[in-house]
Amino acid sequence: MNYILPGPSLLDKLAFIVLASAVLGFGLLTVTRKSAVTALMALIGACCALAGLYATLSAHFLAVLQVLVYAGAIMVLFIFAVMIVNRDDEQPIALRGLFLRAAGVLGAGYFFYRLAWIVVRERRADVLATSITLPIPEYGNVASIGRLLFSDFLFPFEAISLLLLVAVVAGVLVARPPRPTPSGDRERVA
Amino acid sequence: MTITQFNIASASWFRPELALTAGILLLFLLDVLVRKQSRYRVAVLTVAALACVGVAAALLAFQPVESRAMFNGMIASDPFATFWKWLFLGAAALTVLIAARSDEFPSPRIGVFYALLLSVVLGMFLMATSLDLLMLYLAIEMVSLPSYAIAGYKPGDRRAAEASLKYVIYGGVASGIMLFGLSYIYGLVGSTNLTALGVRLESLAAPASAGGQLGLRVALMVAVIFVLCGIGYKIAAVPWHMWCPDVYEGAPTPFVAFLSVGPKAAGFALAVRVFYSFLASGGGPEGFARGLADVPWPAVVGVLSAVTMTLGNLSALHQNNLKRLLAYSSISHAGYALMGLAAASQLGVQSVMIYMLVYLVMNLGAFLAVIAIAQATGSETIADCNGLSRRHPLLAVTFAVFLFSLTGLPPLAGFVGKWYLFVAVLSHYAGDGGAWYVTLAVIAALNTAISLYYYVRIIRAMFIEAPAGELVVRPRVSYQIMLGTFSAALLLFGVWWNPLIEWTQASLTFLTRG
Repeated sequence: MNYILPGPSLLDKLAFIVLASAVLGFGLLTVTRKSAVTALMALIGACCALAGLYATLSAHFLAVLQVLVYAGAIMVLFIFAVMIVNRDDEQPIALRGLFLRAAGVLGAGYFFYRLAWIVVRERRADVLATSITLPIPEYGNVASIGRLLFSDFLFPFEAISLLLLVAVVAGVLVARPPRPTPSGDRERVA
Repeated sequence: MTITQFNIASASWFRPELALTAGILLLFLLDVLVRKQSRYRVAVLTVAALACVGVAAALLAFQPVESRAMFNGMIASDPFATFWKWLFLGAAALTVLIAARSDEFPSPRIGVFYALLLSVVLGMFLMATSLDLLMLYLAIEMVSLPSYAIAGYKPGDRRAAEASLKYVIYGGVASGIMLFGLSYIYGLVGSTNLTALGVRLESLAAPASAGGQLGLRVALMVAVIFVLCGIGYKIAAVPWHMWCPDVYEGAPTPFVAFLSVGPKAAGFALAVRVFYSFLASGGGPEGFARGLADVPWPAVVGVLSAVTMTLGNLSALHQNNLKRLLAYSSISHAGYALMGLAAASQLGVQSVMIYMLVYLVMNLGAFLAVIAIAQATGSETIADCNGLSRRHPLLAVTFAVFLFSLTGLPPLAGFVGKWYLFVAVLSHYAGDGGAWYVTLAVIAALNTAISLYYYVRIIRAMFIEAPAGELVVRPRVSYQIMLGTFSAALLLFGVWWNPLIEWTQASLTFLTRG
């Protein structure tokens, strides 16, 4: 059963503008702040705003997960990592030289100009709004996601479990502390 | 048939992958179970890894041949995929053999290396078969994640740490951009399934309001360029090549040998599947030429190809480190192979397949020679090759064969590979944009001349320079056998290339529209 989304209401547009600017603003803060803790706090803000965006797109389950997993659990890990490492603030990596900076700004400017242009065009033509159809009425809730995960997307779902296992082992391989080798001396670790 | 039954029925076309999965888990277990001090540790783990690859190959050989989509349209089983699977299994088996006798893998850590290597192979299998945007991204990550870790394999080595970090950052950005592009495609079409996607894109391309068409075109253009970015990063094409020299220099050499052929080939397989069989709105490589979003994509790929080979070759000219030199050379070879994609024809796809097959042997051989030299001298610069022909003639001669083959000189297999790429490109000379195809071929020919210069620098060091000091070069016996076999194969297929042509010809059927 397919039915067509009603066009966005004024409230939807307002919510989108507020949330999207929050994501962008917090994102900018994340990459520009020198202090790691400030950057992390901004990242949490960006995650929460992103969750809000998901909610407006009727993906409520995803919104909840975004807050619980990313803004919650993963950020705690990040903060622990910052606390343990606690390095002196260093000059962040940046484009050096006037030419490179100018080229970067121009390139980014052009890119965003193009994106904005698409949005303006599309609003006029209303192509996107009519071509999006929702497959099921319970779109985005836990039951429908669960049903999809265990039917249509069963294979990627299972493949991810292997990928995660491999990633964990790979992580351990890189981060393993020095341990005695058979010859008795310890492996050097930088 | 219900979806569950469908999933279960698919398993019989999925046995090689299942064998690899079981092998990965088995190796993780064996790595813990076999005692670290045991003298037989490396032998046991190597045999286990080879057995796993062997079982997968046997199951692949007995797989039903018909083309079909599996797991509800997630991955495909078709002759095209089978060809690449053979190539990946071959690369994996040779890498295991090389790594087993290398100094770069201390015995306590070799089990994890084998397991991660096999998971990269599994990821490449999925890359060559994926029929779904979700699967495609997952497959790329499955290739990338273990690769990042293996690049930083040497504990306490600054170059390894740099290699790993650069790889992670570049890889993360590239796959992020690709994912962004995929999200655009999903947003425009409303499906992640490539089969549905091809059909829907066609209907979207049908004339609607003029403004909508224009916006759609730009959105689609941005999306395809972003997807191209993810694939370009995997095959190390300019401008997504920057990670390549540093990773090659810092990572363990046997893995670099694998990295320079395996994931590159998987990237090409993925590119063919995505751009030729689905996004090509007319179906088939020729549809790609007719253009998605009214952009002449073959021209875009052709420009990428020309820039990639030129930049790779020019940067290789003044490299003194053999691994960095081969890194830039592998970038330029990605450029040559891109010519086949730019040709946008069945012949083009076939020429890419032939080239990747030949490139596998010659590049693995070249890296094997570098490993043998580095084991004797302790470093890997061109100066280490000085007088090699007097210290170990077999090593010097085989290395020269690999380098000449990489240049593309007859009567070696590298010539056959390059010949077909040129044929694929030049067969367009009378058609649309024929002048551009001729230009591309001329640029490639000039690049071949440039590449001869730096390959001959190594050969000159080996055969003309006097050896520095009384260093004994004695490669391990297994390496000598492999060097001999590889160069014999290059010579054999350089004069008798029919089997290559027939095999690739038979593998050209791919599952296009369900």
